[in-house]
Amino acid sequence: MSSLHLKDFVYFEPTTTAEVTSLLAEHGAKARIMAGGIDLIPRMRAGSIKAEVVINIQKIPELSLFEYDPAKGFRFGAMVSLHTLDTCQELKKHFPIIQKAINQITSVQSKYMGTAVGNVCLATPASDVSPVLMVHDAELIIEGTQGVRTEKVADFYTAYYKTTLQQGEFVTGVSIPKVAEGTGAAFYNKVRTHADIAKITVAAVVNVQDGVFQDAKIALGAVAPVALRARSAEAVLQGQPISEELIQKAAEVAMNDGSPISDFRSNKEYRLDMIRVLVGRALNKAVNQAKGVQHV
Amino acid sequence: MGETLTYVGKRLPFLKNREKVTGSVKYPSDIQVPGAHFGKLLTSPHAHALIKSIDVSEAEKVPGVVAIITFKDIPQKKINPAIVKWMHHHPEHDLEDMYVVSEKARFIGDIIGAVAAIDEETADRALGLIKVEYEVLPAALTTDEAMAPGAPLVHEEYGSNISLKAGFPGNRGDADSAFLNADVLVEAHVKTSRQHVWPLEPLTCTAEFTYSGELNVWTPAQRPMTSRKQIAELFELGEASVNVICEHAGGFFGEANWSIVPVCIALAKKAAKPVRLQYPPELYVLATPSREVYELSGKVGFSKEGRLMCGALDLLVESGGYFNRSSATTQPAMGAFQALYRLPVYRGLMQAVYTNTPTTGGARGYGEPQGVLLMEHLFDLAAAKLGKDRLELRYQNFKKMGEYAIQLPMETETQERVLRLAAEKFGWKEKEARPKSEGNTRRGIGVANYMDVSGGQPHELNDRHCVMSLEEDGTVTVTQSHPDGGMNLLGSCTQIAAEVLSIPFEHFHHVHGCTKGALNDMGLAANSGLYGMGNLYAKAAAALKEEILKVAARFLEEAKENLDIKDGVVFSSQDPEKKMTLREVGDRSIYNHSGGASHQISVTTGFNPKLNPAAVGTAMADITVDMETGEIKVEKLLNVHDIGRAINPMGVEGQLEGAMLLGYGYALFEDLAIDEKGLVRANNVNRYKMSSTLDLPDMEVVLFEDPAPSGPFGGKGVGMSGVLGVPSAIANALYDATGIWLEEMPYTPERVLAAIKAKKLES
Amino acid sequence: MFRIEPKKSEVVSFIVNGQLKEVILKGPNQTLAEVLRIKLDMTGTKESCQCGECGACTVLVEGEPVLSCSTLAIAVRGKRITTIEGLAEGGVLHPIQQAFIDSGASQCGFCTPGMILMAKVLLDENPEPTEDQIKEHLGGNLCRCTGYVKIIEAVQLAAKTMKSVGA
Repeated sequence: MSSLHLKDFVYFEPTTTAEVTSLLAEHGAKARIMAGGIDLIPRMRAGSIKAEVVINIQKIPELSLFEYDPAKGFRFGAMVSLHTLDTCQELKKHFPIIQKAINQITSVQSKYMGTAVGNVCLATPASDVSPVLMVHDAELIIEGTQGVRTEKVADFYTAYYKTTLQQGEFVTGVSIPKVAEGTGAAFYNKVRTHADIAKITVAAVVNVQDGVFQDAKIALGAVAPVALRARSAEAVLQGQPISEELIQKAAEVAMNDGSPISDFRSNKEYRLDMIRVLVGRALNKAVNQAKGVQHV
Repeated sequence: MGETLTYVGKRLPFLKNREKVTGSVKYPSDIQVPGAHFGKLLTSPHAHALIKSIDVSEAEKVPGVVAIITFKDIPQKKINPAIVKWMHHHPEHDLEDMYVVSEKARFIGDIIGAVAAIDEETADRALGLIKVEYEVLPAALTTDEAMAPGAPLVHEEYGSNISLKAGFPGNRGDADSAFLNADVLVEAHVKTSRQHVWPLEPLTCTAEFTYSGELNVWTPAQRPMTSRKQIAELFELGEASVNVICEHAGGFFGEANWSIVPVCIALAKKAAKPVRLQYPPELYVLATPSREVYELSGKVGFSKEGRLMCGALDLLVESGGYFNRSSATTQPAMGAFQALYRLPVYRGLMQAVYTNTPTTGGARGYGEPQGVLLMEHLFDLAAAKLGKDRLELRYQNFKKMGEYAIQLPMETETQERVLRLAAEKFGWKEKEARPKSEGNTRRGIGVANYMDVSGGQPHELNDRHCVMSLEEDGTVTVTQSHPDGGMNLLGSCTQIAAEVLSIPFEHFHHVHGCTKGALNDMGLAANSGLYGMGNLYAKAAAALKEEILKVAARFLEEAKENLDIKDGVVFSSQDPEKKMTLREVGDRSIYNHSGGASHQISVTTGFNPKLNPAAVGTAMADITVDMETGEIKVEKLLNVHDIGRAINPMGVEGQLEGAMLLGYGYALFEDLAIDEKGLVRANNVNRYKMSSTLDLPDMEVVLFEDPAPSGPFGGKGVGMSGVLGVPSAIANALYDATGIWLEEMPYTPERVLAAIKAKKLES
Repeated sequence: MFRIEPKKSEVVSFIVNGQLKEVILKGPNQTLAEVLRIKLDMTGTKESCQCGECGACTVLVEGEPVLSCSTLAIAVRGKRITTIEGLAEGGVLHPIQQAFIDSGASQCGFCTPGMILMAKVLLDENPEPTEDQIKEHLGGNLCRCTGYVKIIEAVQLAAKTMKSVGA
């Protein structure tokens, strides 16, 4: 049952990532990381998360860093707020769909408090942020007691609300590789109201060279237990000359990449239909953009 | 009535707004009574179950627990918390079927016990130690299941899940034979959805028995005096010993202070300590009624010339676990269906069905939006069949002066002018001439006319009283029991009183939102505020003016007939020397009396409405439909409302804009979403979505003024009205765009797309 | 490393509307909303949905808007907090407060404190917002009474008066 007041927990304020990993190693599943708290605190009050240990990572300075390097791409830490990313001109210029997916989060307060890494680590299948990171081939930087490793966002989710994080590990940041010439991107979602969690999210990034899909990445949210890449649809496009028929074929095939369910936000049939419609629209938009980029 | 009004018709600031913008207003949920214990509820996890036993012995041992109540600790008397029987003219239609806490679980979330303890942690521990033995019963989760032979009975004592069948009091003629004579018959069906009006203020109650045996209750009570009556009867207290306090509430959109009040009082009584109880969000929507849920079947017959001849409405109301307003809202629903157009033969029939789902009934609009939805669609269907223009067919059938509005005579005839104004403002002709298809989208426009009420009469008593007094500083204090729920009703009424008395608007004080010290009042409902309270204030102000002039005549040694008040000064029309300020009148009447005892000038006034001027209006919607995604985008919503006279136009616009957005959410996405187990899925604000600024369509409100003879300065009701036409205008626009009429609300993209596919429509 | 055990008393301070306030927290499990509303009796900060969706509990921490229902008080100790009670100065309303009155933007008033604080954040950053920018900025603040029309008008009016006062 939910409570008006938070139940008891032990509170820690580490100042280094090493302190975080050792706390996580010690307390295991009883411990929760608090970044913005925007998801954690309400869930603790609602009783859906029972945390005996809360580790506030807001006081670790290095986690708030972010930078764009034209040669490498964009990197940001786990405490970089959604608001910072939303208003970051370099992100908007080089990764417009990432900025867009963040921008369309309705609550400005949530953007000031919340973090993109927090959103990714929630591991909700309905994240809008994970699919746009996936199609940009973004990697998570994961620190544990054993050291640092990286993992592609697209490989991070193992099952409904489950990730590859091991005891003692947490995500300290994200790195997004730079975008090649001739790339276009698109992001679409469907919601009941703007403030709702998406009933479906589709993101696509394509690289077009001489009228051919040099590369195509498509990611889907809210149509499977995890946010995921639509690999069979991508395969349809890879190396093929661009045509409306091909795009429609990929859009049809993408329906097999999802396994949506019916819930109070939408139903299975509709979500399947929308995979087709939105993948089609996203690919068309991304292709047009890629061509536009080539002309510049 | 000349147009030289000083206060009426002005866009004056809303009352207590300085307090609201500074956060200094106190709502019931802000009240912290010292020593108040924490109340928490035990609710059923089963949709339908017998409670074989409840063992609280372990829970009672928890240190810090001060009271535990279960069925055996409460008054053994069934109530209907929404209805005060003696207010209704057909009390036999209002079933009392509910105990303060249930003896049997009738839906998931039904309250079966409660704990009060020193803090929440202790209350939680005690709740966890209460052992309940349930015998889970088969549940009737839909009206079909509930009406099937051998269905599990939600309330055994009625022998059926159908608790009431009743006709509309204004039924007339023989509908069956009239249908045989009609040239064109049209019919339509719809099942409406579970909107929850969900005010922002959390629902709390704090109850405290004083050492003298009086009871103080802080809760967002829309009708404090009727709450007082219910509490007094249930707990066998004198009415005057019960003080219900609610100066301000965080939104009134249909009474919601359901069972929390008696449960809290029962806890406070047993504990002999003050108790504060608050519904957690996910329980709030289970434990308070949603909008009334109907299955409606409507049928009307027209002559080939387009004259409406006969109509019938069959209305099945899904009560949920308890009866609540299953009768009270169906009267307006059946009334709204037949209100606006001349309908010589009409048969409205309702039946109420229990299901094992949360209780429904009584949201802003009170059944009327659903009645409007069906009738206005039947007009569109008939226009198509008759080959007539949609608007022309409506003009042709509007009632005329001298006819009955809903159950009382029309006072003004404005429907046609309102519709013509709407069509002009909306650009109906131009919009109708546009191509219907464009790329993936189709366009459509829809219209809905409505006729709303200005109070509950004659179905419900709407009597009210106030005391209006001249203070020694020349200001006026008005005492009555109403809370401020955001409608600026007290502000509008003050504008009326200021006008009548010719005393500055700022010179009024208000004692409100507290039953102690106030006279009786049946409370606010059914658009009754401005008409009822406004008339009360006008009447009281006129009476107070009489008294002031009488006393001033003595002080000034001038004939009363020669005296009048202007801007707070009593003056003689005959002798410019003879004048005195109200401060002088007020002060001298108390302290400087020349002969006779001290006598404060004060009047006690009652208003007992006998009429009910109809508040008519027109909503229009312009929409596009994405034929690939099924999404409806509302490009424009217009509502023209005949307010009689806008006492404060800013307030009237605000009422309509808010109600329109509620209607918009009702039409398109708001729904509690009950699943196949009877569980409400959208049980929190992160699941149940309401409109934000980003969902806001382009809304326009136009006020139409034609004073109603019986209204205060001609004013009429408005609070609910903006909800009435919007869902129907959107539904008709969808039909215009696609030919699709959805038989189930809300009109989600999922339902629209399924219908597009079923009809094999292309853009 | 800073840590607090359950139920352990910890004296913390905040600068609330320019005034130093000391509060004894009993353990770390109190939200900022609770501390403001119950410990400091500043009930202008409202709490409605308890899940970060309605914006009624918005306050400013170091000038940035946060949802006080989802913020641990302990995590913002020592910080400057602005609540609705801190906007009027010397009995004179802030132009945004005045604009809410003049536009009829406050009906029941329960969302008003959060709306006004969000409007302040917007106008401090962007003195001449477009209608769309206002809508975007207030997207996380629900109102069930007004239909938002007059709230948006109030922000536009406030922008105008603040500009003329500033000029």
